[in-house]
Amino acid sequence: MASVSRKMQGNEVEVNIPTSSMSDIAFLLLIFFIVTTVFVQFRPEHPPELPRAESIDALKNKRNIANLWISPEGIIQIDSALVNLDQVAPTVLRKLQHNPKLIVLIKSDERTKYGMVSDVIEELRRAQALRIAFSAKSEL
Amino acid sequence: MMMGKKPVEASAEIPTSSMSDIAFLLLVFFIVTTSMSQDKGIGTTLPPPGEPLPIPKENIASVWINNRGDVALKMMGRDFVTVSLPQLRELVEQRIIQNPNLVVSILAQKEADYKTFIDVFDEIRLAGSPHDWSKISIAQPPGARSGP
Repeated sequence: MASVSRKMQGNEVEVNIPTSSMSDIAFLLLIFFIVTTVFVQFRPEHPPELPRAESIDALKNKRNIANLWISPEGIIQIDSALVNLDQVAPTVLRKLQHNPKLIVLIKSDERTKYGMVSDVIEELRRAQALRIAFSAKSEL
Repeated sequence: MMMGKKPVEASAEIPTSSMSDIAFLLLVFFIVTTSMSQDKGIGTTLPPPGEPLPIPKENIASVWINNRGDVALKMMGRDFVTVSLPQLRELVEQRIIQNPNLVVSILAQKEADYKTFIDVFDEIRLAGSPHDWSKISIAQPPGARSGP
């Protein structure tokens, strides 16, 4: 409304947007983004086709998540390391010592045989990694 | 900005007008390279290793998944019945209303697809309270490596 009335007056008002603090604002945002970013650290050797599910939760803190990929051929990868079934427990145990709040996120392909997943779960139990999650896509 | 005029003043100004451009450029770069994708999944808590807790038989509903991906449900006093996924959810829902302490045990055979397992797990979680993870147990398939 103010601008309309100003126009109606006819005389031109000099409008200056103060830009001197713009860089401060931009840098503040920039630093905020740098600090909050968690870079994608690990990529799977065999990207899985995740199953779909309805009752999924969002796992909030990426820093507490260890990714465990299982390919249909039974190749297991924990974060950056390709491991055997026997090495699952020691690897997860080491990660748990660094971060006791660790959640192991099982990212298994939907064609993987259940026996493979069950073996991995049993190994996780042995390593006391009791907080796990099955990665799934939303059904929408 | 009317300041007292001094006789000789060398202008020593850093040009700051393009500073915001630089900052925004960096900002946009960071926003673009950041992966905002959140991990999503079905969370659960495994029982600690050791002897399984004894559960009274009347509180157990077993769900079996065979190698072909058929799903069967057994509840107290009844035989196994093959069910479809929506039926499974309905039956388990009814059963939970009758008995809030119901523990659903999922037993899948080794050659079953992981997809079927997740489908069943999902349905059971939807049937019960989705955030009560303790009422679903994952049984070891026959012929699995020996437990702890």
